[in-house]
Amino acid sequence: MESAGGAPGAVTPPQGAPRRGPLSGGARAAAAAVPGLGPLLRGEPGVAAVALIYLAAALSTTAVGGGRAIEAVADWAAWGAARLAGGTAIPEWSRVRLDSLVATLTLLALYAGLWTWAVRDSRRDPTAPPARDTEGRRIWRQFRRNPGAVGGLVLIGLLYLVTLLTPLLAPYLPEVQMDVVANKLKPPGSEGFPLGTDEFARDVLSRLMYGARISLSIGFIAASLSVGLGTVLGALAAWFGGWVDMAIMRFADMLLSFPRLVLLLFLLAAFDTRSMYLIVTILGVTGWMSVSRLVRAQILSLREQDFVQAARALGLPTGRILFVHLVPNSLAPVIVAASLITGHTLLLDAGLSFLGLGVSPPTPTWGGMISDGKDLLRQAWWIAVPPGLTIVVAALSFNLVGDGLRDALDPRLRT
Amino acid sequence: MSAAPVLEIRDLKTWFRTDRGVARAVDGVSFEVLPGETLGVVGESGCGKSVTALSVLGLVPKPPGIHAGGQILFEGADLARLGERELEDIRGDRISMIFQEPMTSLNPVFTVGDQIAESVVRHRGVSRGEAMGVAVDMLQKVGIPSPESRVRDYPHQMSGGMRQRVMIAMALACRPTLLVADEPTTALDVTIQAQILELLAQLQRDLHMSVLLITHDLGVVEEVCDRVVVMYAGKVVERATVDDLFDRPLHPYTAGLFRSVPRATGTRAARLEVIPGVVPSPLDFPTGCRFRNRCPAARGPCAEGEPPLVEGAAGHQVACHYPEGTR
Ligand SMILES: Nc1ncnc2c1ncn2[C@@H]1O[C@H](COP(=O)(O)OP(=O)(O)OP(=O)(O)O)[C@@H](O)[C@H]1O
Ligand SMILES: [Mg+2]
Repeated sequence: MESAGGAPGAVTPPQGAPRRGPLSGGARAAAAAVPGLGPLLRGEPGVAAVALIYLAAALSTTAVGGGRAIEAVADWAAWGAARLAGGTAIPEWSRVRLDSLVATLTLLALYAGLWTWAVRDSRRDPTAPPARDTEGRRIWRQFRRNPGAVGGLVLIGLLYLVTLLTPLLAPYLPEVQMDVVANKLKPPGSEGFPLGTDEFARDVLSRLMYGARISLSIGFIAASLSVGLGTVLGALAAWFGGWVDMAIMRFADMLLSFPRLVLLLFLLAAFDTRSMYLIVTILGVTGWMSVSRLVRAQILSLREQDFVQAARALGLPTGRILFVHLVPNSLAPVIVAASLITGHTLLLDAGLSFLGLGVSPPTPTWGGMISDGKDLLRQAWWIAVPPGLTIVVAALSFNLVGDGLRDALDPRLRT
Repeated sequence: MSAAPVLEIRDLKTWFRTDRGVARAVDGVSFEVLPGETLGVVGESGCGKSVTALSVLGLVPKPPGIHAGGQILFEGADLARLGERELEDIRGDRISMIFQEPMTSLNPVFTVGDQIAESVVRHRGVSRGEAMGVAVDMLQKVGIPSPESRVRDYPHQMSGGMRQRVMIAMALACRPTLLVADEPTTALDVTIQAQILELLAQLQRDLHMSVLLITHDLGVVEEVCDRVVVMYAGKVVERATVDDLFDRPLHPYTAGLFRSVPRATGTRAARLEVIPGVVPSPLDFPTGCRFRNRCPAARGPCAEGEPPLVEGAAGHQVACHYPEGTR
């Protein structure tokens, strides 16, 4: 260990947290071997907890689904070999098997990521002056100070990780019905069904996990669509002004004058399928208005800046100035809006499914599960409560991250 | 005279349609820029210097701007008649411009290297990697130390003087034949000003380019310009070589300008004078000579005809009915 004796003229560490030097010798080796140990030894419990949570996720997935992971790889190898041999009856490479393979690769990537981080982190010198200070680093430093926001981010990470790892983790496929007479409405903790079964004798845990894939993807993709559309339309309105601005913003006003749910019902009524793509599109095209207003306001003030004139003097074309120079400058509030919109869209999608207007059954969605369980709430609370809780957790996480970003991106709050 | 001019402006009129009428910001300006020379444009605030410069690059916002007449001849084409696409091809490549405010003329979210490289990619069609090489060379040329690491800096990591050097690097990356510099040193402190002007002069020699230098500062004009155009109320009132102009200004306005600036070389006793009155609004110019209601030499005929720009001495044109020394 380094001697703690203060050399004359040594910089005094800031009050409060005692700063420790880099790890050395055995401690460094141990920190590299066990992700999370390094921060623990250096006295950074928060970072350690995050690392350990992800390590636990990786290890428990291996414990539960290691066998399936090996199977998936073996299966893929066998299929590849058959394919290469050019046999006559090559089996189709099914969606389910692709899912398992992707899950296996995700698990490997998680391990690789954890240990790469652990090795690099074990060599880190926390007392070293920070390298080149970029805007991104400053924002991250501010964001980290907000425990709620960091917690939300960790949870969102875990949720999306679970959606990828589901084929290794879920006991059953989501649509599988057991012998109904023997297995329906089993309470949580019953043998083979950790969260019980519903009235069609389907495993609630499996449906919850597969439902996460649908619900979280819909939330994420629809929100991205809204944000993308809002950004492009807002930018065009601000730059071109005149009738373009008029047309886009009045159309936005018109959409905003309907309650969102009414608008959704109206649009959904025009279609008789209920595919995931349809739901995503409809949620996406009804959610861009607030973003377009934000972006428009930003670009209206940015376009008067000197660097726009300078870019024009260099002969850069309008499209490039608008989307490469101005839009990135207006992105801070959009990022905040994006995370809030994702949480909101998640709730809306659950609401649609609850009303029976979401992705059609038997595809599992969180909202759909609540709808299935609502009539049985007294006898079998375990059907509706778990998806209800996950919706709350997911929406809350997105809101926490959004608030954290808002604070981190506001230069007036920097310290 | 000798070589054919790089840029020739003939009777240029750039007006603005405003709510209160038509502002004749540039109203019949003619001058030429010769190869390799520095032509200064001076005049009071609001006389149309910037609008003239922006007109050359086709950067006047339209609307409210209108091209009300005249030609801008550059490399065999009339820039005033070109479309936006063709102008984009010329801007940043054959003609470049640098601006007054180095602090805000760079995009805060990109590295300076990216910003220099962008114009090279746009005009030369080279790969980004090659363009970054050019960016490093240019930073070196404009005198930024350790350019290899500085290309990765963001604008906020640089001082005002350094940013103006970066602006110059951006403008000159494609080796234009003409550089339009609109008060490039006004926002900088005096020592940095001198360095930037020295740098511009050196780059001008190296790259054989012409410079159209707009400035308020007669000291700068004397220092770096070969010839000068004096503007007043949207018009050229006097055109001459620096030496002729400083030795013997012919227009009462120019003479007034000289008397209103402190001269470092002058005797202490010389009193500073101000030109009485204010620049007339471009919405409503006086009839006849636009300077007449501020002019010490004005008399009857000045209210009638606008004085044309005529040869007052050899190679020295003036737009005045009663030039200095003829009274
Ligand atoms: N976009 C515009 N719309 C209306 N009027 C304008 C516009 N741009 C410039 N003008 C007018 O044109 C006139 C000339 O302005 P210009 O910027 O060329 O002056 P300048 O000589 O560069 O002054 P300064 O020394 O202060 O930079 C001014 O009266 C100004 O009000
Ligand atoms: Mg100006």
